[in-house]
Amino acid sequence: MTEFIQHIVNGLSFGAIYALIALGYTMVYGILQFINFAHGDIFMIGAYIGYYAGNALGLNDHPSIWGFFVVLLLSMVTSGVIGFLVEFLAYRPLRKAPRINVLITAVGVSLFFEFGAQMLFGANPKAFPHLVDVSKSFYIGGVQIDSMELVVFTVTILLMLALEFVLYRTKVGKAMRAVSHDHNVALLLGIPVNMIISITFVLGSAMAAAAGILVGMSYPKLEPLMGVMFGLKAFVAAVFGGIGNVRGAVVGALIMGVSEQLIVSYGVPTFRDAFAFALLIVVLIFRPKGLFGKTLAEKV
Amino acid sequence: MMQETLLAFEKVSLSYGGIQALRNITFQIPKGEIVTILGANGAGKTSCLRAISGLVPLKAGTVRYKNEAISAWSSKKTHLVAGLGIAHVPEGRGIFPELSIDENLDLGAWLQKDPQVIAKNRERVFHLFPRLKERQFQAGGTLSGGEQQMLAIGRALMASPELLLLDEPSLGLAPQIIHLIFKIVQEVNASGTTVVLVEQNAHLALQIAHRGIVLETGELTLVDEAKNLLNNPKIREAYLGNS
Repeated sequence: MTEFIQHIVNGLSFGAIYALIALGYTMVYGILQFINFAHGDIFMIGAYIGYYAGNALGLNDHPSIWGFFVVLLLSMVTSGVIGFLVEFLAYRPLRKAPRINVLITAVGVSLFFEFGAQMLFGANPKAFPHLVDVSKSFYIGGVQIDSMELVVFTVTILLMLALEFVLYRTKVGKAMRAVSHDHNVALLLGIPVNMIISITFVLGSAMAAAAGILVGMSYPKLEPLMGVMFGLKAFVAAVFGGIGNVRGAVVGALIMGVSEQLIVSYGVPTFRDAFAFALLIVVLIFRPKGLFGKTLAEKV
Repeated sequence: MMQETLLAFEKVSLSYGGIQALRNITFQIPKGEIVTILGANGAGKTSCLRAISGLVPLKAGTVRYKNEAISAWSSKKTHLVAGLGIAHVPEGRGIFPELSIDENLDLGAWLQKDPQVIAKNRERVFHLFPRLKERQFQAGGTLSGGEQQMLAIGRALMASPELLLLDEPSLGLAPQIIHLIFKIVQEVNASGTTVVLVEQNAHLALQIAHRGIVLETGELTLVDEAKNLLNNPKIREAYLGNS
């Protein structure tokens, strides 16, 4: 039993990271009805920014919790700016074009980042610096919780609460939800729709960057294509939860993280990656709108 | 006595793709009136409102609001039209079903910075539509059709508009709800807001309107005072069921 709970805890910490990425997919889909395939690569860039910032600050030799927060913030802000630029330069000019054009552009942007990163950072894997001392472990009734997992849980929960606050308690958040329902009506109320879309990209990209840092710290190997698999899995988690639904993306990602962990522990470890895609196929066949797809009946 | 013109169409033409929706339309909306735009389906009534709000670019002509040629920029910076004091309640109401009634109203006040004005407007909306107050925290999508229309109008009033554009507010509603809504439109107008009312229900619309504009397949056929239109035999035959 203890062992089972242990796997659940480990799975949740993985799922929490997927969730941070999945939020960006689902928010952008909610507002523009398209899948931003470059999102996984923003995650990768976030991790690389963390690598360079962490080394520049010399954190590898002197790990510190404050240094970690500086690196995290720096990566989130920079990636947010990159997300803004991607939307502004690549997607905004296509606002009135057929959706397939935007989708193809997103694939193009993704390839641009993946191979741009190979040019810029080199194709060889890099070792992520130790930002904080995570050698300690804690035990709760025989279940081991690493400091790293604690960091992951703390950061993801704080970020999700922050996002929840923005979406449901602020004027901009209300506007984001309004725009995701109807651009034209939002315009009629005077809501600057383009700005709201930009904010959505900035928030999503910053969350993905945070995920990049956490992955770098947990599995300290960076490579330019690391965003592909993480991005795809987070995308599946978002679809599983109901694409466009913010809370659904979190639940979908957590279930996915735990399931992967259980498959590795009790099933066939090599099927770990296959699980995500099997899940995608099953969801698309039996429940295309996902777990929390729109259920609110709209009276006419 | 010359009335002040709030809004004017000057030779406005508009088309969607190859289909021409408005041809060379010219009319004026006097300040302080209720003006109704009448016509059959596809006559161009909704297009007139969309031309004012900038939801579609004009093909030719000018829309002037307080003498400013707003059509020069309105289709590129549509969100700025609301800032002029123009509130547009679109066809189908356009409420946000996932947002609560309160949140819908908050978004109506997007451009309003003064919290005191917002509070006052909210009170006014709840006074006009007590039913919205009862359901303040409910999701907009759970409201009945009539309540959704009330919410849509209430949300527009949150912006303290000078010009209120209403697109078929009676569509699909029970007669007593329609009467209630029309009564409130009259009240809103009496407090100084100019109203442009697009309606299928010509009889009702002409009863509360000062003036009527009749469109036929994108062309303006008649502009007259409402009471004259009510007695006009052609109008009676075409739109009032010849009773």
